Order: sequence, then C-alpha cells, then structure tokens
Amino acid sequence: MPQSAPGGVLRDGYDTGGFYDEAFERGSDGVVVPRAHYAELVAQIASMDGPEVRRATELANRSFLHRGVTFTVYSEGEQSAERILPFDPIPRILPADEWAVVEAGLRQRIQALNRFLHDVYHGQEILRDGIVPRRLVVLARDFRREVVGIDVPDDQYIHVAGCDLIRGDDGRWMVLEDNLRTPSGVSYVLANRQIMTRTLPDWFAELGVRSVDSYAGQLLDNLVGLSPRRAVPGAAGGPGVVVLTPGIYNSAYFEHAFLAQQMGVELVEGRDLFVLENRVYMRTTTGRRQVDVIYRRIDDEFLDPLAFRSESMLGVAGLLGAVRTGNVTLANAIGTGVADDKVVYRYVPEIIRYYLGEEPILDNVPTYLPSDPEHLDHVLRNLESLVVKQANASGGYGMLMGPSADEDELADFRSRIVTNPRDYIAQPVIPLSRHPTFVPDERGESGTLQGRHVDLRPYVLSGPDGISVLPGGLTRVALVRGSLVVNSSQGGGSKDTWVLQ
Amino acid sequence: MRAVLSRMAESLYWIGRYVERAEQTARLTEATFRHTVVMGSTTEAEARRQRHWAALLDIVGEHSAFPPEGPEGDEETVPAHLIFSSENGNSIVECIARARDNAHTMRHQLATEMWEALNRFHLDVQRPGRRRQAASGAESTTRFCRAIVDFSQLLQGVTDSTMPREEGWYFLQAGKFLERAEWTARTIDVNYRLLVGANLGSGDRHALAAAAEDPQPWGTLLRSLSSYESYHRIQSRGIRPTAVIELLILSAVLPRSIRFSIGKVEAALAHISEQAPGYNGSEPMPGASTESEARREVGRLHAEFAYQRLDDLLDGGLHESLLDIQRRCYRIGDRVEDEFFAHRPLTAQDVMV
Repeated sequence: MPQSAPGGVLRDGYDTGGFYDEAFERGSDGVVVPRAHYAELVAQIASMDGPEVRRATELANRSFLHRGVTFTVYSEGEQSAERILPFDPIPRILPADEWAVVEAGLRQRIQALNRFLHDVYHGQEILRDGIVPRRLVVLARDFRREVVGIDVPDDQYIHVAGCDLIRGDDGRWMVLEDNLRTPSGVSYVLANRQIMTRTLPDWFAELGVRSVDSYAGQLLDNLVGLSPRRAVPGAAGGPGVVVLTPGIYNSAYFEHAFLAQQMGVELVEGRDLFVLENRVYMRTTTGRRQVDVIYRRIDDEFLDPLAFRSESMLGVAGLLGAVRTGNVTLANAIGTGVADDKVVYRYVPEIIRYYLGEEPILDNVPTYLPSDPEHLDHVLRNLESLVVKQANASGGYGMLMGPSADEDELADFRSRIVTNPRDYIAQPVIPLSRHPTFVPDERGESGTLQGRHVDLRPYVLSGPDGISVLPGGLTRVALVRGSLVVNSSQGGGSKDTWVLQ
Repeated sequence: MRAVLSRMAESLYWIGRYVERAEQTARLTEATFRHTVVMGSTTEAEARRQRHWAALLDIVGEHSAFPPEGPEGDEETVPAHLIFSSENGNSIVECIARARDNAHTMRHQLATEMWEALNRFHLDVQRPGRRRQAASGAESTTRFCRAIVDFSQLLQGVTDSTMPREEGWYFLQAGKFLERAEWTARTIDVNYRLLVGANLGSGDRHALAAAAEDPQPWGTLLRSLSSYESYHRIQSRGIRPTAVIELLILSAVLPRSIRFSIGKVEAALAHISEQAPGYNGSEPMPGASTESEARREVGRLHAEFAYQRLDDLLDGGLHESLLDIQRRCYRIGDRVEDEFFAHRPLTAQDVMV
C-alpha cells in the first residue's frame, strides 16, 4: 500500500471485504496491494488530501447540475424530479489486454444477435432447427410480426447496443443483459470524461487513456450511411438525419439532446414529423423537409399509433408504412426487442454457436426459465437465494432480490411466476465486483475510499464499416453500502472508465 | 441560413417573450418602489401609494388576483405576486421557469453558455432561501429586481455573442420586441389614466397640460422603461408629459419605444419570410399560403408610425390609440403563430395534390 497523506482518503487503509476488487488484490502475504495497472493512480490518490477529493467531487456534481446533465426519476404518486447521476471521481481502469477480450466478445455477440434478428424476421431457420424454441420467440412480447419479411439496409438491425457486463468472485466477465432497443447512458460516458479531465487532470498523468471523443462522429457516419437516398452529407437536400425523442419528460432527454447537439442534427418529437405518401417529413418554418434516417429513442410500441399502440402521442402516424417501403431507416430497426428478451438471453450462447460456429468469448450468467417445468421446480424451491427478473422490464424495475426479500414479496413472486412462467427468469445472485469509491465522512468535509459494487455498460456501434466498441463505457456504481443494484433510478452513480492504450 | 423546425422557432420566440416580460416586470416593480417610498405616511399618501400598486397590476393584467371583496394589493402583496407567485403565470419566477423549459426542449440548438446561464438562474430563483431573502422588505426586493435585470442583460449579451444569425435568432428577436412593444403600450396607457386621473373627461390635450404640474411621476414612467436619461438627451428639456408620451411611442431611436420595437419585429419577420419555401431541401407545406400576413401587418404598423405625429394619436384619443396598437400587436402575434408554428394536423384536402 502506498504511503497515504495523513488526512488522505486511504488513511484507514482499504478493505476488499472478501469480494473481487477491481483495483486491489490480496498479495501472497495476505496484504492488500493495488493491482499493477492501478499502482500509479492509487499512488496519486493516496497523496491527496481528503478535503481536496471532496471538493473535486462536489465541483463535478455541481457542474452537472448547472449544465443540466440530469435524468428524471419517476416514483408512484409523486412528481417526477430532475436529478443528476451522482459522479464518483475514482476512475475505473481496464488494461488493454483485458479490454481486447471484452471487445472481441461484444463484437461476436452483436454480430450473432444481428444474424438472429434477420433470421427470425425472415427464414426462421434457427427456429426450424429447434435451437431456440419457436414459441419463445414468436410469442415474445417484443416480437414484431409487422416487420416479418421486411428488409432493412444491409440486414442491419442493431445499430446501437449497450450490453451490461459484470464480474463475479473469480473476476470473470459475464454478460448480464443485452440492451438492443434504445440503450442509454453513453452521454454520461462522454460527460464523465470531460469533467474528469477538467477537475482532476493530474490523475491521467502518463497512463495513456484511450479517448472516447469519436463516439458522436462514428454514430453520425453510421446513420448517414443508412440513408435510402445516399446523397452527400451536409449538402442542401442531403440525408435528413434526426434524433427522435419522447420529449423533455423522458428520463434520458438530456442524452437525446446531447447526441443531437454533438452530431449537429435536429432533435425532433413525434409531432414535428408527418408522413405523406410513405415519406417522412419534418415541419420547418420554410415548409416540409424530408427525413431519411431516424435515430429513434422511442420504443417500438410508441412509434406509430396506426400500427402499434393507438393511444401513443409520441409517434408518427404512418411511420411503419414509410419503413416498409424503404423510404426511411430507423436505428435501431423495429423488432430488436425480441433479441434482448431475458428468456431469449438464455439461448445467446447457442445462437453464437449456430450462426458463427464459434464458442462464446463472454459467458452468460446461469439462467433458469420457469417456463421449463424442471427449472420451475428449482426456482420455486430456491427463490430466497435467486434474483428474479421480468423478461421484458429494464431499469431495475419489476425485480425480486431473493436474499433481501421478505415473506410477502417472496409469496407474491411465487404466485406471479406460477401464473406467467414465460414472463420471468431467475438467476443466482452474483456478488458483483467492487471498486474503490469516494465515500464522504459524516461531517462532509473529507472522506475515505471504500469498496462499492460496480458493473460496466460498453457501447457497441454497428455500421457499414463494421462493428466498433467505444473504449470504456459506463461504469455504474451502487453507492449504497452493500447494495448490488447499480441502476440510476435506484441510487446508483457512475465513474469515468479508462481503457489503457 | 438554415430552416428551423417549427417547434424550435416557437420555443425561441417564447424565450424572447418570457425573458423580456421578466425583465420588464422587475424594472417596473423597482421603479414603483422608488417612486412610492418617498410619499410619506399620511392617509392621502397611503391612498396614492395604493393606486400605484394597483396600476402595476393593471399593466401586467393581474388585477383579478386582488378582487374588490378581498384585501387591496399593497407594497408587500403586489410585489410578492408579481415576482414569486406560482398562481401568477406571468410572475418573474414563472417566466424564468418557462423560458428555461422552452430552452430545455431545444438545448441542443443553443450555445452551452446560453443554456447554462438560463438554467443556473432558474435553479437560483427556485431556491426557497432565495425567496425568503428577496421577500424580506423593500430593499431586498429591489435588490432582487436588479438581479433579474442584470441576469436578463447577461443572457442577452451571451446570446448576442454566441447565437448564429440564422432563422432562430430572428424568432428570438421577434418575440422579444413584440413583447416589448405591447408592454410599453400598456405601461403608457395605464400610467396615463392614473396620472391625468380626474382630468380625463376634459380631453387629452387639456389633461396632459394639467398633469405637467407634477412631472415626477412621469419621470418614474420613464425610469420603469429605462428611458429617463435618454429622454433628457433626446428631448434636451425638462420633463413634460406630452414629450414623454411622444418619445415612448414614436421615437425612432429609443430602444424601448413602440415604434423602435415594431421596427425590430418587422426586420426579424422580413428575414424570416425571405426564406423561400424550398430552402435547404424543404418544400412548401401542402395547402400553405406563400404570403406572410404577419409581415404585412407589422410592416403596415411600422410605416404608420414613421409618418405619425403625437397630434394624430391625441386626435383619435390617446387611450383608444394605445388600445388599437395593442390589438394590432396581438394580431401580429396570432399571425406569427399560425404561419410559422402551427402544429395543425394535415387534412385530407392538404394531401390531395
């Protein structure tokens, strides 16, 4: 352990608490020491005063508030509130060799899932071959029969993905979820890096951290490449690329606005668009302008009130028709939700083997499907040691944490699972790896580093030039001591994530 | 120039209006404090003070907030209502909140500094501590009003120096100056009726001549429109009601006169409507007319001002003339909304080619 400043954040040492710690390990003599790739940073941090780190943290968080880097929290019966995603200044570091494996694993996964989507909406060979049970796919809530047989440019469905990765006790990476609909959070990756270089520039020192700046440019290039009218970008009458947002009340509105601003494209709501003769137009003060590519941050069901939920005020009437005639491209394509369904998730390793003939590079978390009678029995008998998730929910909603649930909750979930086995999955509780995190002391003037559980959401872009993975991603951290839930809606914060060159 | 989304244009137009409204309300509140604080405490002075606060409510159209059966508005309740009340949709805090909400819906189009200035100020005035402090007496309230004016100036400075002179800019200007024209017209009208009071029946010219005996409230009127020093410079003489009114309505150089403001609205709409449909890959909306009625209306009003004398306005009755100006401003506003922002759904007729 490096020498800590007397009032420093490591003055009390550091306790790994028996978990896999991202930054520290127990040496052969049982003493806690920084892992090799953290040594330099830990030395930097140890030399700093507690109050100094405290001030930097506050400064960063205040800056997020002023800039409106916020999300909206919904809770029943209460007004929604605008909050910042609390920022923890201690960065997470991933060495180059480790990242190379993660990157290769993600490419492989997205490639296979994209093939899967094309297949289930066309020939359905994987279903015919019995690799994935047909009923699980065609009866999935997010299987969109409206787009069966419809071709999308380059057979590309998943343009943007944000897979959630975790590490358990042995430090092995596992994929927890594939978010293939409208994954959010990438704006925090960029904002975190910006604030980090501003408030704690010394920490970067000579580490050689890979830049995350190219994300918006890469996304724009990919979107322009999807235009059915492949004209010159930027020129008058060139491809109309827009970001479609549900509006300022959406929890990820900041991100929608941020990405539109960074890409220099229009941020539109459904009411700004209309469809005429299967073409999409936006209303401008000088008339209508054709839209060719829509990076949509609205779920399938709300896209077109004529095709999906008729009460949706967020979408554009006739949009599906424009998609079917190929006059407009949506990113992501309609129907990706069937591939990140939590039940289908269980089959992703088989999906990879089926389409690519390769062994999966990244593991799945063991998953039980109550729809299988044998699994159901196991799930019901071991409910108090399992995590139960709704197959179609996200954001940490609709979840049961067996070990911390009371009898009523367990009974409630037991009956829900028995009634609708297809709607649930169960997984063992994975003791997520921990990362040193700044915890203010009671008087709020200083603080210490303590272990808090983290996950990682890397972002994967697919375009005409292939698949690219943003080096880093969003490290979410459960700020509440002992908590395993990292979701922003449930008291999670975030960290800058450094991939080394 | 780049065509803007109709909704963005609308947001900018309203940001312009709300910020201007907040600033004007702050100026007026501050000027009224300054004017009434020296009146003394006789019963007669109390009544006069009361009339001034009531006039303030007239100008902002909030008279109904203090109905005759309830307590009369005074120097505590009126400023509280005008600055902080969430029931008053036009209170300063509400105006800032709405300007901020509008900016929020289009923040990707604003320079970071501009958005941040508005967001920070909004967060600041929303703090309960800030309200308590600002409501603790005349001095704190006037200081708060100054802070509003300073903020508005800062925001305009940031906007001037960061915003591209594209279409959006002109919508912002159109909103700001249309708001200002309406505000100045209402302020003159309410003050005129308050100050000439009992002499109103004897004709405008006579009433104004009689009112000249007490120039001080006319000075306050100028101050509330931040035109006091300009008056002396432009008119080079002591304060006379007719000259004050003439300046505030017809001056071509005073930035808060009605004529000047209308001229700015005209210039903005001219820029906007010169963007021919078809610009930047756009096509005319089905069923849309190509002539801008808003521009025609504002151009006509501006041309009239250019050839009008105060006598013409007095001949028609000053109150009636000012009412007419306000009505025409409202109409211009309606036309702008119809022509540029209308979210009306397409009808079957539009689609038939």
